[in-house]
Amino acid sequence: MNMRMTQVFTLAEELAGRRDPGLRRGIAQGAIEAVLGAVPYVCLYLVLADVFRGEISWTRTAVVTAAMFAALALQIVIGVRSMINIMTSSYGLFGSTRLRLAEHIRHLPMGWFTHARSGALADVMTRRLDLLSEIWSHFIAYFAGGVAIPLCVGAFLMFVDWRLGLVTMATLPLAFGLLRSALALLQRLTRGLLPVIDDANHAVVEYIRGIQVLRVYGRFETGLSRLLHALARLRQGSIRIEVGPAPLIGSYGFTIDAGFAVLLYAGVWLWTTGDLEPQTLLLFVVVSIKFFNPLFDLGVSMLLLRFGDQALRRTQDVFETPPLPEPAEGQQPTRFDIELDGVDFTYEPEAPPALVDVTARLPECSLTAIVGPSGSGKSTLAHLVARLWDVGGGAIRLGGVDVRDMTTHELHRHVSMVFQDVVLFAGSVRDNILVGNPDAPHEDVVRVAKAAQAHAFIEALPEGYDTVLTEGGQTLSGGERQRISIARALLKDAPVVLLDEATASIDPAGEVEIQRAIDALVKERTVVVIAHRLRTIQRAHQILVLDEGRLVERGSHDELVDHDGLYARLWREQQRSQGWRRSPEPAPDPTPDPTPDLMPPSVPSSLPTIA
Amino acid sequence: MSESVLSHQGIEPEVLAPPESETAQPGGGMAGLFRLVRTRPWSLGAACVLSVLSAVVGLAPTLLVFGIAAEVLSNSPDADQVVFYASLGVAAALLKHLLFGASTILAHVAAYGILYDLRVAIARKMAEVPLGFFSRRQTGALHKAMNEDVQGLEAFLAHMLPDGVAAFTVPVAAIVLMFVVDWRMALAAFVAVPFALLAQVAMFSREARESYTRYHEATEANKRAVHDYLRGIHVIKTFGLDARSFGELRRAVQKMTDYVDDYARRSAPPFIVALKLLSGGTNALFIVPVGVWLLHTGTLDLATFVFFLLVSTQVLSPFLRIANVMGNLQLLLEGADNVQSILDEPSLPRGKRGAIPTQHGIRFANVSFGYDDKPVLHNVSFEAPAGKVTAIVGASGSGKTTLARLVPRFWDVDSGALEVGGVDVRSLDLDGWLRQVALVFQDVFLFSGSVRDNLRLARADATDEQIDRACRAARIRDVITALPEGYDTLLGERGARLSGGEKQRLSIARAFLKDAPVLILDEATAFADAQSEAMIQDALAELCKDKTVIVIAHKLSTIRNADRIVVLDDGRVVDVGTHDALIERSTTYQGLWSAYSRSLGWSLDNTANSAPSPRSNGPTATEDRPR
Repeated sequence: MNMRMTQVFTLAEELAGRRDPGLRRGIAQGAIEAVLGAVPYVCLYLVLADVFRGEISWTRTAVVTAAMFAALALQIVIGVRSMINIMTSSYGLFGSTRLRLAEHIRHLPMGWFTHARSGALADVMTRRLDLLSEIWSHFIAYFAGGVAIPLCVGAFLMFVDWRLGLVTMATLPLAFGLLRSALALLQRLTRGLLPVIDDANHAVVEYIRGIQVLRVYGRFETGLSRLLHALARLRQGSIRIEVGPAPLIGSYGFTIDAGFAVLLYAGVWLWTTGDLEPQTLLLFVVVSIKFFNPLFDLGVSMLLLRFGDQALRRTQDVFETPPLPEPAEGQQPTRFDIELDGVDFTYEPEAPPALVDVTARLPECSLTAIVGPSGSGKSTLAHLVARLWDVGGGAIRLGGVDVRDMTTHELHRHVSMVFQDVVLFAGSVRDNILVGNPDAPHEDVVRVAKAAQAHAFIEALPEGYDTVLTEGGQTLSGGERQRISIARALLKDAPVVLLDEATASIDPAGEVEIQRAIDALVKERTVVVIAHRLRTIQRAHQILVLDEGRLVERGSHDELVDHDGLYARLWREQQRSQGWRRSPEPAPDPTPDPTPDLMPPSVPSSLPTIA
Repeated sequence: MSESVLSHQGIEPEVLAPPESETAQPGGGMAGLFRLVRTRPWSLGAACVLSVLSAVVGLAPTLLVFGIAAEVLSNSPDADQVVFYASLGVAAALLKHLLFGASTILAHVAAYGILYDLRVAIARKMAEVPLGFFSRRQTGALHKAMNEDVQGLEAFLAHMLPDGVAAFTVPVAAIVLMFVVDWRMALAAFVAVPFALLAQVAMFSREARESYTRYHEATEANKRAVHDYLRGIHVIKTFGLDARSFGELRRAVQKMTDYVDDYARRSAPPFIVALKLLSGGTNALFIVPVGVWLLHTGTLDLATFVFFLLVSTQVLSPFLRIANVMGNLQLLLEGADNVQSILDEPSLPRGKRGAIPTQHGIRFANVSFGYDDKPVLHNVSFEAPAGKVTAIVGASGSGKTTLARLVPRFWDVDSGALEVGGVDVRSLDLDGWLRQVALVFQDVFLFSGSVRDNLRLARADATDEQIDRACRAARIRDVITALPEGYDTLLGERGARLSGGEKQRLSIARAFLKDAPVLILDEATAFADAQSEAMIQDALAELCKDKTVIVIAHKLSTIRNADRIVVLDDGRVVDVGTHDALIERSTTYQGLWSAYSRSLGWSLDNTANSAPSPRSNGPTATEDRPR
């Protein structure tokens, strides 16, 4: 992508998706201030001309000094305004860009958020935008000056003597040609360097992540040699990108500087042929200092803004990713059964389908479990219900309404999800529970916390509900985090609850509390649960068994065990894995045998649901 | 400005990137920076000299204008002389850019060489610190040190140093020279400099630190908010939070805007004043009246006046760059301190070369250990006999994992001793000892590379047959052979994706290949899915044969048959025995069992009349406690 000059000025506004008059004022003020900087040079010429004519007058000195003083004072006043306007507006615009990005990605399908993409997006939203705002806000004024001064000074010189004026600009085409080549080369080298930087980053991440294992296996040197290779390539590439464009950039600078000599040669020729006053030549010599210097700054600014190019492009890529379509007028469900109607789904165009023709009815207030081997599409199915993606074929209906015909807002009002991977945000415990319903009064927060078995440990925190959680609540145990997330879902009070591995063993020691919290959450709701541990879903009204994206079995626990298919096989394996042996067993137990061997001999009474 | 403005920014955007340091202590790092310079004294020295020469030659056009003015306005102007000056100007411009180019190249080659050396030094340091170092220190901080902190130094070595030297020495030399020519005119020419410097000092010292801290905080807040937002995007979507009502991000953005607003208002006046006072042409304001007055009094000749008018207006601008340099220096120093603090980490003593245990019974003798100030283990004593399975149980936070990780010396004990075959583990050859221990942990590290590469990590010279046998034993062979390219299938972000249970079995295959006499298992089945769990357990059972095993498991059923079970409570050993013995006598063990059994009995139920809690599904903790 080639950034044009006008684009440079409107970049921040384009990204933010709004205009800012303050910014435009700031840029205009910057240009005026820069042009005022040429006044001393004109004054300088006037004084020099007087000096050499030997006619220095006090009045003239006073006028010139006053003019320079006025120019300086104006420059300071306007410059201060310009700097404040530009800084404030541009950081405001880049702040809006962050929020706009955040808002936009919220509407993208979850499938978009691969691990790599999320990492790149975090990079765009932090480092790259920071970099762009820093470069841009600092250099846009120089850039404005770099355009305005040569234009005004050039016009002034053309006005004084058009022939010399043209000569002054004679080297510009060559200089700009060189600058273009430098920019192109830099861009090419940068593009070549990016994968090298990525590789080096990747090697560093992998080295740090793997160092423990590498050392334990005594293979530290293997890891190090991979890393050194990547680092050496980074060194080489970095040096090349600095050294490569240097001749072109130097030539650009030299061509600008040489313009001064060309001016002199032409001036002397005109002067000796008697066609030019020597004073005029002197005027050109003095004032053109102010013509040539900003041109160099302009080139430098162009090169600098080029660094923003990557950030710009990546940001625009995000904005151009289409969001999930929203209906103009959302329909509202009045009941909360779920209908899966021939659901197909594929993650990537080329990839094998994740779900194939899944059809099932989940009555209101029923408990449906989805089970299957890993990779069978369990989570995908639950995510489709919450419309984190859209189905590839078929439809999912909530209370008879296609989820795509509801606004996302409406749909999410009715559906709660509790994930195995709990996300707590920076903020107080209360804030984290209030996510479920920002307007809830304190009594409700306490009520749901109690129901989620979280009240007691929250009260024991230093500031109770006002304790601020940092680092995603890492100071809490996994079970405590899970119970806060359940309290959050309780507060939301949605009629449909999706549990994605929420009962898996995150914090085995605190499992009993999590189980009680989930009991409170699921009561009298339409529940869809994904579970690995089949024990925990024996009471489900129906169990959907998925295998490679297909619904292969359906029924209650007892029916499925009797059916002796995939479910029965999974069930037996799990029963078997409860006991651990010093030697492997030759074959799985032929029958599910929840024998007392599972339990300590003295507590046989705690087996009712298994027995 | 000159080329150095460009080179100030370097080609790596990281140079300008905002601070991210959380652990660095600011200050006191200049000496460290110059230590780095001394590792490449010749090339960096030459780069500085060339940079100064370039700046000196860069003053030539100004002097030429003076010569031309004198010539043009003299009574008998000589055109040839002007042409000669023009040619000199071309030569000077050429020389200036050549010198600068040479300086740039030298400085960058040296700088990237130093960066490379530093990164290698950090990487090597990571091989020497205790393994526990990586658990304590967030890998993010290490990554930052190796990437951004080191990268930031490029700005200093390749740009600030050569440019700074030139930006300082050339104007100072010019000012001295001009004072020699005529001190009165020099005084007039540079009268504004102290004010400009004062304005800069006002900006960069008084509130610099506070302002810098605020900027740092605002940037960090933004970063945290963005990461939180992305990490929690599924929650944000399902709870219908929009970007604006997601308060943290909005607040962070507002914080940054407020900061910049305030910063711009406070710093714009001094900044602009300094900028204008130092920029070319402004000092003509003082030179003109003073010069005219001195001419009038007859104590100044015309040539000197013109010289001052032209030359003194051009020599100050390099000072402007010094201000820019200072702004970034603070940032960079913090990064340098961060790097230094890693390099200064004490290394783990490596023990006697070749001292390898011949027997593998492990004994904890009065072991106490804590992280920083937080004690974790108190006087732990027990024995894990050779060839037997010893299980460690206890509530979460009781110190099980810490205890297990003392064996492969992730940390060394604070007091007491850990003995292997009767020898203190600290006096063993570290690498030799690590070769005798296999670890199977919950989180499995697979690096990007083929399946085979990942397995060979355990034994570099393993034959295909050995690998195949290990995979069969680890119950993972069928999964691997079903992959598109079998053992040559690439793993990692861009490669094939394995489930948690499959990864776990791969790590068990590694342990088979390593065939070490001591085996440490920590929660090895915790995240496995239903199918994997049984297979992992079969594989582990085979792996454990004839080995000294220390196993940690929350699923107590899996360690029922352990030869001995060590019960930990709050970092203390409360009992040691077999399952049958402990279930009879240890209340702690009974408590663990009953909680475990109750969680097993639970099943999800959403009907209205279902029991409020699993209590009714079975006796409560107190009821079912055996007598």
